[in-house]
Amino acid sequence: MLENVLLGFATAVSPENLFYCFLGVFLGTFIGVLPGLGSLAAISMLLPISFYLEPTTALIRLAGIFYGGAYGGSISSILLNLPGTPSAAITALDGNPMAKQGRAGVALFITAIASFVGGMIGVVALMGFGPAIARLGLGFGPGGYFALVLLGLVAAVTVGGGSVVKGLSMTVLGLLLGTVGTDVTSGEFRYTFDFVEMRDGLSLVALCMGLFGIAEVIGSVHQAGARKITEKVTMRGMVPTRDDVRRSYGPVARGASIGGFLGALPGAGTVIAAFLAYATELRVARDKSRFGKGAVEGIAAPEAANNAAAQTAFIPTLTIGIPGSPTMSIMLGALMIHGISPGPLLVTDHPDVFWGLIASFWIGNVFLLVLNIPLIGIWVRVLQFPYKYIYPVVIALICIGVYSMRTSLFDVGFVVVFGALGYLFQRTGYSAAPLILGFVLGPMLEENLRRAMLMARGDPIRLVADPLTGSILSLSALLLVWAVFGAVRRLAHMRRLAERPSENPAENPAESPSGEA
Amino acid sequence: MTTLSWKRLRRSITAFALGGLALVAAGTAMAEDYPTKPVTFVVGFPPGGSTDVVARILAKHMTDTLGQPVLVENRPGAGGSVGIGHVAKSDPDAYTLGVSGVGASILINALGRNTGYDFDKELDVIGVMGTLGLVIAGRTGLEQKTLPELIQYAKDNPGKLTYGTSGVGTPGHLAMAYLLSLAKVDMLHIPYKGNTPLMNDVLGGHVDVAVLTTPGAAEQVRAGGIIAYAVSSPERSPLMPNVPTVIEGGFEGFTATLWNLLVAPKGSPEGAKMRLSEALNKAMQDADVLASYAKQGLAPTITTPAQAQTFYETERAKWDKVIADAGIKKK
Repeated sequence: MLENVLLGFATAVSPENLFYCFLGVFLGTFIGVLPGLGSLAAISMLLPISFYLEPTTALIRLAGIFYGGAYGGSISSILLNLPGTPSAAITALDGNPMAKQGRAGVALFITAIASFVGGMIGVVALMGFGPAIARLGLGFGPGGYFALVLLGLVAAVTVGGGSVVKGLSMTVLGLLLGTVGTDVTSGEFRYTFDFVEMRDGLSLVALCMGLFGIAEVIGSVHQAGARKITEKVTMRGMVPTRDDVRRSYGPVARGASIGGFLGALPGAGTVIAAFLAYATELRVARDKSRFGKGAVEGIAAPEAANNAAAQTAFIPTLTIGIPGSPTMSIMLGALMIHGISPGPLLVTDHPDVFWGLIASFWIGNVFLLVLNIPLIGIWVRVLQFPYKYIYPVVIALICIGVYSMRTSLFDVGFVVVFGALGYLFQRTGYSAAPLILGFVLGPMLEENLRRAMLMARGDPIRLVADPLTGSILSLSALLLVWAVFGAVRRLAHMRRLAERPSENPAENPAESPSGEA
Repeated sequence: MTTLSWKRLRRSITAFALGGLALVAAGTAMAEDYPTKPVTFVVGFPPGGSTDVVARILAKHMTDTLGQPVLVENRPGAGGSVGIGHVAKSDPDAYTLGVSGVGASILINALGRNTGYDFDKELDVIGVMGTLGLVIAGRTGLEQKTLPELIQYAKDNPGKLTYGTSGVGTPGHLAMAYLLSLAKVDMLHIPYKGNTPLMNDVLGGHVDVAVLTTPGAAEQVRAGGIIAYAVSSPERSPLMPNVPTVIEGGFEGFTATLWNLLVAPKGSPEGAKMRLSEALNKAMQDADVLASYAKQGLAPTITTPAQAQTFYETERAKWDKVIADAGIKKK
């Protein structure tokens, strides 16, 4: 183990690898910040250069872009309420209110630290237990995945905060949008309206950029001349208070664990990690009303989660050769271009590639931290530009970003449609976050349930009888029962209060039940 | 008034003349010194996939031969037909070319699905970009170690075994359905969305049999994660010399291979197509390309445009027969 780590660092600290590692994380952060341009687009565009680099160097650079992107995506989320990447959409929920309260520096500082810690925990998991975690992941068959996704949905119903009914209806709308495309089990087309472009479903990036990005721009048009903040941001304004720090420990630890686990499962990914980490914080919080109004927990947890997931996503990719996401497929493609076939023997056949890459994660995460803390001051200054200069650039970037994902003008059209829809949701007080979660989880839920039912020959008892599936399903059931009990108890509590209104006039019965589902 | 109309007339004459000149220039340029600007290979799948890797290996070598950059553009969607549809609708100047696989060239259409283009009427075949066999593999827990044993077990226990493929109507699905119809046995088809979740489930033992692509499967076989029963190519794969072909397993004449055709919009200049064909064949003989091909499990192919067209027609006839014989319903 130790000699492997040493071999890794020896590979990673060569001047060339250090340079490309820095270049990767720098580009990744930068591209993550730009709305619409994600690491997937960047990596696809830069893949051809891999031909001219050593395989390890090529991977170090591409990987740097990937986890750097997870880092940078939150910056524009916090500052402008424009998520740079889909996984950062959730960070905007509390990050942007913080910026509006003049605490943008603090939010960015906490994001940087939470991302760093999350990323490091992910790397440790990858180094220490990579193969073991990968084997655990293989234990999840269709039934296990179905149960896990269901658990995620149950846990996350209230993710947008506010009204349960609104949250539920947006989740359902997301699930419905997720059914567009080719049905995996039968091969039939659903809701494609004879468009070839819709057979693979709607583009997640187009959906996110429309609902969050364009909607935010339309919503702010009336204050086009305004600036977000006019006063200068000092170094002192960046430092979190003792209370902020104390509040962040738990969320970072929980977020990193959730993200680390989900990242290692092929197909789950950083988006789900961030959403579920946020949902978990909402569940465990004593005072749920703080969320959505600038709670530090609401940025620390998802940021730790998506960065941990970005690192553990390499576990199935490198240890068993199963790429968990499109971005990971490109990484494997970069290896294949060099004639290295990814698989379970990669670690033993090419230890320099595997350990060199992992060592570069340590170095890259430190680079990111060193790069980002001083940059906070500069990022915050973006807020001092009037909207009328920022927004045209944002719209152009979104169009370029969405187009470059599949070289598809069709998807750009969708951004416009979803932008209008997003604006409508914003005006009517419907949060788009649960919709995204439904959209991402829906196809996984359906596909795995139907596959599991096929394998169980249509017998639901056989499905539930599987120990892994059964236990996760009962966890969901418990969560539901707990939620119902909680709601009933709270209702009873409110009745008692209502009978003696003079005792606690601050309690407003109308908004109390909203936190539970 | 008169000056204005004279100005307008003069302008249109100039424009007309310039346009005509440009047309003539373009015509000669295409025939003689093609290419004069970068050439684009449109791939109907995302970057990093097997089609993309093939396109990039060849594009790199053909860039040197043609003296102009050969770029790879990914237009993924609908099993490759979004990308090939784009090529079919492009200008027939041989600067936008398609890398068209079995699905986009034959299967999607043969299964009665609209691709948005007519392959025969809208595209010209320039050459075959290599062939790749499929691997029929099983989870390690299965006691059957050879294809005949597996078939016998399936015969004795109809419908008990499950087989996974990368999707409904993919070559793997059709090939396996055909094999099962030849053997007159029944297995339950479990379709997946691509190779990744399928590989996960066969490694985890959730599905019994899987039809996989060669390079990925070879690595898993080498590591002992799965059992390889047979390869569907006419000859054994150099990546797995110990694994017999389906033919050796007792199914005379059974082959199923993946391949890609280099295609251009119909009506592209003949000279340009010949130039591309030569560059493609030259790449297929290059030592570096051959080494990369061997590691991907790809068999190189050297074809003239006419031979490639014959190859395509033979394949189409074969897959039509497979679909009919395997009793797969057309839409």
